Amino acid sequence: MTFAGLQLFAQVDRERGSCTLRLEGRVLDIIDDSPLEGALVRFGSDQAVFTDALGRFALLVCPQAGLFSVEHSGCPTYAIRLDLQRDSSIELRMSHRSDALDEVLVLEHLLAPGVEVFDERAWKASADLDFGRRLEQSGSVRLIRTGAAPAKPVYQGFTGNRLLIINEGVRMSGQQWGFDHAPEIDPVFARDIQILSGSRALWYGPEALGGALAVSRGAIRPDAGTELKLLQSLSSNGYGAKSAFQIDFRPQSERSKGAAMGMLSAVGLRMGASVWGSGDAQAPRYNLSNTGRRGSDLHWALDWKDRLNRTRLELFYDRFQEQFGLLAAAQVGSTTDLERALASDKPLYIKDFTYEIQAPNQEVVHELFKASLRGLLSGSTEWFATYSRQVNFRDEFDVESVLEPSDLRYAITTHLPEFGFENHGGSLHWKAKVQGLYQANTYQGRFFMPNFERAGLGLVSGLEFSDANGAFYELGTRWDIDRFDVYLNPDRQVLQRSSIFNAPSFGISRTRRGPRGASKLTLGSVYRPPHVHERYSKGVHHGQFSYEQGDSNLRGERSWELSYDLESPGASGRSKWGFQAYARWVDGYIQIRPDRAILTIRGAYPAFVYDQTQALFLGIDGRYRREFSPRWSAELSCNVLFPRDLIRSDGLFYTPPIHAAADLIWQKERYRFSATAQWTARAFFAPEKLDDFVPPPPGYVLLGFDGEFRPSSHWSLGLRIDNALNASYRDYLDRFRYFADATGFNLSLRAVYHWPASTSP
Amino acid sequence: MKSLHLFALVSAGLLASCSKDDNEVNNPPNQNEEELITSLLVELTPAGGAPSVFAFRDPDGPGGSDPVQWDTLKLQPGVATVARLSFLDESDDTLDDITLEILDEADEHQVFFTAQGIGVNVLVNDADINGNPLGLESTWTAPNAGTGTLTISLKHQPGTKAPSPGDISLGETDVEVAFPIRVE
Repeated sequence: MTFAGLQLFAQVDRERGSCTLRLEGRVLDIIDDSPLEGALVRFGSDQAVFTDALGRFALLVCPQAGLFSVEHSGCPTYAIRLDLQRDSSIELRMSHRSDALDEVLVLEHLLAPGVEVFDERAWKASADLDFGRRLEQSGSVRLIRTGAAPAKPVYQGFTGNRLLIINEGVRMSGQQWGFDHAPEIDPVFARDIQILSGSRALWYGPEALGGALAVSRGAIRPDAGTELKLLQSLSSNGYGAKSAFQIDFRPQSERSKGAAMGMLSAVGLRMGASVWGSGDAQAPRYNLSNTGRRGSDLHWALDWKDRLNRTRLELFYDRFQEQFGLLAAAQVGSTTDLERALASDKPLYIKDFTYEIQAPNQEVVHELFKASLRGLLSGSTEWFATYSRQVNFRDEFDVESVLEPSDLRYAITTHLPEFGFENHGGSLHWKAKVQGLYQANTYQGRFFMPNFERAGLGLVSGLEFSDANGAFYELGTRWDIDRFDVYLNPDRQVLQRSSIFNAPSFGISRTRRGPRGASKLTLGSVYRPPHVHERYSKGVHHGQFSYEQGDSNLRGERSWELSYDLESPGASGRSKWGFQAYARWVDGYIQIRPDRAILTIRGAYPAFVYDQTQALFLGIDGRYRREFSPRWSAELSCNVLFPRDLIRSDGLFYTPPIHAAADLIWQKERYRFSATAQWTARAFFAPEKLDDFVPPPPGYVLLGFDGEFRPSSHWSLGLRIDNALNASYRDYLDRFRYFADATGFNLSLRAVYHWPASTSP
Repeated sequence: MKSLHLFALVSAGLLASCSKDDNEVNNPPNQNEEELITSLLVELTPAGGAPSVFAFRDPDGPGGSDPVQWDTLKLQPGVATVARLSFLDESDDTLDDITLEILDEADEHQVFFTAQGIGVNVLVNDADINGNPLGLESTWTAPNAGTGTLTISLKHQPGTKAPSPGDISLGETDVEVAFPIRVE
């Protein structure tokens, strides 16, 4: 949707030079999508415009939380509280009947407190990357890698079960516990990924000590017609390619064609698929043998609303499949092998480039189905019911030995039903729900983690309101009760071990906005029950070169968080800066620590056991942006984390080192170029008292480049260079840094087609 | 008709979402069914003498209890001694001789001998179909009296097994036992 030439009827306050956020959109009739002209649109206390003949409006506003309202003759007044920090676009469908639901579609970024959205341009430029590497572009998310295999996000030191991944509103449930188990999401046409913290993360599930990362592909095209997106990319490192499409379709609304066509006209459909593949990745000095990948993703969605828009149904289905090799040189069978590998400055197994994937490798399939029904109860109160089912298969294939295959297959099925109410009206926004969970996990092959069932029930509530001084409050609470039933079979006799965990969590925040910016103070406490693998794993953890032993006596983790966000537009109006300072104290923090080496027929083996400590995470994430001219701008960001084991007075394993990035951007109409320098420090805060085989690797600097050209409003062509200087380096968060350097120079080309014309400028 | 197409599409998608885990969660497999090598037996026969058997035994596999037997190998100075190796799975009631499987896949395996603290000359007597050393049978000679360790490593090297004398750095380690050794 472009607004070039749009007649503004705005009473824009021209004196407020820093109030340059653009809030624009359309107001349509909910029945037939006809534009509503002359609707009065207000935001905040002094901003008001009328919609034009096409139902369009645009406002220039300050970053603030305020009441957004729309009045139109014959319609009930619509009002919602918005927290606006970026240019945003809204599509509102209004009803002339008082008992029908209005529908607001937020087309682009619409920030609310507790939500961080990535830079839109950078987000679109990374469309060809996988989930983890796309997140990494954001700056504040780091990755735990297993060489060139899919990587796992870490946010402010938290990952795995402590960081929720939300896919289309559903908490992803698979084998989140392993360092080598990355989220199974293909975000190619995702509208954005939001980082949720405090009460907003609690809404989706328990255990969110580190918040939540929420992926959304956006709503299906609201207008009648067809929308098509295509992507094709090529990359030089690994000689890889990715192809993807997504198509939205909504039939014409024709009330005169009878009931059947009326039903149909209320339906929107989406279908999308992608395939990708690459061969061995290359480090600057050698081939990283057996690091090829190939995968596919298929998704479809459907929405439907009744003629009066009192009821809405949404269905979503996604099937993700990927097979990836694990660096052959990293499969070590004994301590002697490990010592031999550590003593070598390059992998002990290097072969010529190939697309072939051999053992060790993993194959994962993740299916997600979601059905969501919302209906109007009365006034502005809705009820909603959602059911989702996920099935996750993970096969881990080890290098063959003389013994019978010791491969491992996990299958985990998760059912998540929920039911609740939400009230949108006025300045008070509340919602509440009951959330259920049933999960069954089985394994086949070599034992490492037992079968288990988990059944849970959560009572969840969220409340948002403003006080008389304009401060905005959010309160989220939940109470979860979880029962775990673990099934062991140590000696041809099934043993059942049951345990129940029961605890509350809450998050509260206060946001204040003024001419100098916005600040937000958050206090929260989150509970996470111990996972089955932490309590009952036992055996050699392949790929981790360790023997692991769980502890069935572990109790849950309790975190306490205090954080302060500040965002300021800067004095000149051409700069913007902000930071988030946070402190999280985790009582009962579960970590794995070295125990006495065990003697096996493969020699002495490093053994690790799970235990608990008190952990403190102190950190600050800072960002600064300055526009030198309409064409030139620069961005700086840095993430500093000081993690501490308070009982042992030591660091914490696998927490991100200090990281800083600088971007220089030039843009003009259809062109945009950016050069990036990223510095990652040595992991100064890594544990000194725990054995990590080798000291943390030195810090490193990577240079990158991205260029984008839009030859028309349909096409976008891009070029990206990663590791431009082909630097040899090893990253502390890479599990395979003991064996090989990280990947080297990469040149990627991408072409994106969007029909009808792209909504982006 | 359009609506029929629409619902056919949706139905197809729903059917595609029917993956299912067929395993019973409350009926797990036996945790100890995995095939293991728990024991390495070394039969030493000095020239003109009677055979003696030395062993490393860890019947419950990695973890759990410590190995129950870890013998000191004994040689006589200057006496050529034939060593025959057996790899066994003694983790349950039925004894599995993994040595036969190693013989079947001889072109993917090699046994390596590494002496530390004492000189032991090892001459491999057997070979795979490609004429490369295997190591299940070898002749050991220690010129001088003394003590040290002799590490016996069984490597699995499918597709990577190197010509004589082989390359210990390749492949997967199936067994690695450092036996104390006494020459007297």
